Amino acid sequence: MGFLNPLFLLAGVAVLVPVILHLFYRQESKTFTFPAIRYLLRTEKDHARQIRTQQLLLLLLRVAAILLLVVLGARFHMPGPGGSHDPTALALVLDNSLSATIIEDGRRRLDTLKAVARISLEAASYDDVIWVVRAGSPWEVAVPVGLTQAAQAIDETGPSHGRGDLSHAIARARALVAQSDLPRREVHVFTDLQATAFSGSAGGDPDVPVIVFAAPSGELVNRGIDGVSIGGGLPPLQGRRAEAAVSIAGGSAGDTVGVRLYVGDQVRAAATAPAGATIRLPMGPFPSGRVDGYAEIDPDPLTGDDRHFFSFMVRDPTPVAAVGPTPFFLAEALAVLEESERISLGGAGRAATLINLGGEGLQERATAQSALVVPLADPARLPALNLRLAEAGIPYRYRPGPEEGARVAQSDLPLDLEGLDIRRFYRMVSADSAEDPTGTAASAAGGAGASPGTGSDGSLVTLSTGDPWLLTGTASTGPYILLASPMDEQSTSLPVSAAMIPLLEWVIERRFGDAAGLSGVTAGTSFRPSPLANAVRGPDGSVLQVDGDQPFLETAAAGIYHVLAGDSVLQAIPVNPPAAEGQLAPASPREVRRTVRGVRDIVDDATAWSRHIFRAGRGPEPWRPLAAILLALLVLETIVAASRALRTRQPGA
Amino acid sequence: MATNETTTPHRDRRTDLLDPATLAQLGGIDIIARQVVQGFLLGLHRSPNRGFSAEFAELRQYQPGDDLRTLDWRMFARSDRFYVKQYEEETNLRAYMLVDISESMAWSSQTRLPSKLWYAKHLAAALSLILIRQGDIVGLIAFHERIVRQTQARGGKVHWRLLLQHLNALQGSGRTEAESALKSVAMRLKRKGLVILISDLLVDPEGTAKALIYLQHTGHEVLVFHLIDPGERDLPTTGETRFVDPETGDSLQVSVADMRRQYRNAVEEAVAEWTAALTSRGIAYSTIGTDEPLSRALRLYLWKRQRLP
Repeated sequence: MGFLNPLFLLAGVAVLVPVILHLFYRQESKTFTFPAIRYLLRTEKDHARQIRTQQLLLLLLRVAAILLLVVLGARFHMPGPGGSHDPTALALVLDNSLSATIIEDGRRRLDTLKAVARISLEAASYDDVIWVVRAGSPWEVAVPVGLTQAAQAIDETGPSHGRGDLSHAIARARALVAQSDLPRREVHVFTDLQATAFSGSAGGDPDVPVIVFAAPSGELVNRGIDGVSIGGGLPPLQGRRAEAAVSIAGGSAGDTVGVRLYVGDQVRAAATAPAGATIRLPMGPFPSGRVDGYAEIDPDPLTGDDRHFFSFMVRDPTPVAAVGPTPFFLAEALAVLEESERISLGGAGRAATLINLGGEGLQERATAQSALVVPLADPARLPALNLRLAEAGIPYRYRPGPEEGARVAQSDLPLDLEGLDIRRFYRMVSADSAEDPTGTAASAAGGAGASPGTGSDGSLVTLSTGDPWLLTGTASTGPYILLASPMDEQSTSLPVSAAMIPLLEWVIERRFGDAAGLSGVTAGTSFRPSPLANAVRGPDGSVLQVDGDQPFLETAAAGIYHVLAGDSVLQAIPVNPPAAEGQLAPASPREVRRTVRGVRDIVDDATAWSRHIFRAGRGPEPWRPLAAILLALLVLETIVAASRALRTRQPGA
Repeated sequence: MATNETTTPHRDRRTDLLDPATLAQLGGIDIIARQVVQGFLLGLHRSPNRGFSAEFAELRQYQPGDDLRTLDWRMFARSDRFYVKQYEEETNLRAYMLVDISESMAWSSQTRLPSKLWYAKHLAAALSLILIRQGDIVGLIAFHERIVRQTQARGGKVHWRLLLQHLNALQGSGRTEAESALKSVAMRLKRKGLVILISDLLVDPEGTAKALIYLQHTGHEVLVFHLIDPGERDLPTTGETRFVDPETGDSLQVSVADMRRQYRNAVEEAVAEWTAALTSRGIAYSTIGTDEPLSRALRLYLWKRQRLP
């Protein structure tokens, strides 16, 4: 309750005019000689009260009319929402994540959220400054806009196959409105309240009120494809059959679902699988070249996770060359792989992967060649190794490691390495801290992280000491993998373990795996295209230019993104929804309030939304009823005054 | 239509029917009084109720209700029609005109309208002329809070002339104190007669009524003409007005718009109170507007005169 134009209240002193006139001013009267004054005295005595009452009524009517006029002029408004409000910095956080694509009662949930967001815009005024922030992708720079542009942004917001991070989006929205100097600030969140959207505590100024519209949802059981693994993580060889392992998540117990495997646009395999199971479907053989496809299950209300894309390169056996003094077990393992036609051994010049013992041959490798660097057991060879690393532009250096052994603590490889006994290893530190004699393995890991590269760059295997044991990255001279231990049985049990050949094969073919996009990208995240790329073609056929080695951000839609260099396809990146988006369980209001401090209201009724927003501002201006009352007062005053005037003008009345 | 043609010229000659404003333009009080009385008596000839006339004694065709003793048998023998004779009656009626000459009587609400005093004087003159013509004797007492002038009751034209002189000389002055004046009159009038009070009665009602009743009790017949200016019935002005009593100088500021209806009711109530107080005691009372023709008052007198013993 208040006034939009409070200065006009000063006009309220006008009520003194009729009061003063009533109390002190008598109309300029004429004197009239009148002998029958005794009758007047009699009348005055009998009707003085009635006259006073009438005059008081007139006074009250006039004072009330003036007060109402002042109230109207000052633009009185009621408390609560529904009317105009102080200029507000308003951020609209729209959850367009994958879960918002769910269809309920024939309507997409995102459309419901957008409709409620429009209610906020209808309640907003042209004095407000508005930011539209999407909780899902695509990420865009939020700029303050007016009503029209905000409505356009809401309308243009499409569903994303990525994950919605409401905690981050709310913190970002709060930061945006906090930079405004407008007197009011509010953040309106439109979401399905999916629990996985709240990744952590939302920062920002808790004094900025957050009003959450939680789209009502029924008990929905969702199932989706959790992942597709082709050939156990290794790209199929030309002319050989392979298996696609399709993991189905969610669904009810005893529920079965149809699974189809598409290559191109053709179904290559189909089966029925129980929910929650992983089914293996045969595929191939394929000729050499790139294979794009997807696995699909029967659709349910949330269709976004019912399809999972993959892309891989069918290849010939990888040409491999070992440069330097090759340890016995390494040579034997390479021979086994060659016999099984997984690789082909040959000269360094035609090899796709070089195994550089002690770093030998690093400086001569071609850009397209990947390098597996294996140190030698003799520490005296480390300076030469480090020199070769520096010449190859690889930003790591070997340092003598601790005397005690270690175990594998963490591994990103699809291999069982827990049983390995690492008796001896070197520390791999970043080149920046290499001169620091106290440089630690932790700094090495940090240095690796700092190195530009794809999402899989960094430590692949980490030891119990915290030191990296297997590092990967991409230097200007090409991709590389660094092993911390010499590949002999004195340094590690790897050469004599069952993991030796799979690890070697994986390391050798990882380069192809990356190229084939087997690892894929989660929708809404970025990937780094090849430095040679100049464009990326999205699943919808749109082509976006890319610049050098900048990460590509426009991955909102699931599908296969082709990285182009001119007309050539350098890479095919399958982009799929995050598995967590298929978990539709909503967060409870208590959980939301715990995660996001300063949540004022959580509303699940769209019709009640307008009552909860801009509540700190102003309610509706009841000018219509006030004007009606004023009119009634004026009419009443006119009637009372006119009756006097009529009597005045008609002496004989 | 024939009736209108014969009536209109006749009414034109009826000066008693002229409104006072027009009547005042005819001349002095004697002329007006004579004209009014002549017109009045002319009207009486056409009325079956007319009972007597002093100078105009004549024969008139008998009408039912006439006293059979007045039948002119000689005319009946000659014309075979009944006529009644009208005599110049010999009466001993002693009439006193009590004229209120207080300040309030000199007031008029309109410039073209004569004052109550003018009306009272001319009414008294006309009544006196009628009375004297009937052979009665008439006296005059002018008063305000006291008796200002008293003219002994006598008859004859000379005395009427004297009355006219005295009436003409009366000026409005003083406050009305009818009660004491009437009591004084009662003390002075030893012989019973007809007391005609002409006043605006802007007096203490209770005391005045008591005095009039006292007069009635002392054997007088009392006839009260309550003169009311039209402006006293309805407030004559508008807007915020300060009303000043010409007698007392008291003033009262009122909004006429607020008071008009209530004032009118107050006047009607006052008149009703006067009527109730006087007529219940056999005192003839009538309000006479100063914008009304004098004939109305004369007719009232005639009505009262017929009932006198």
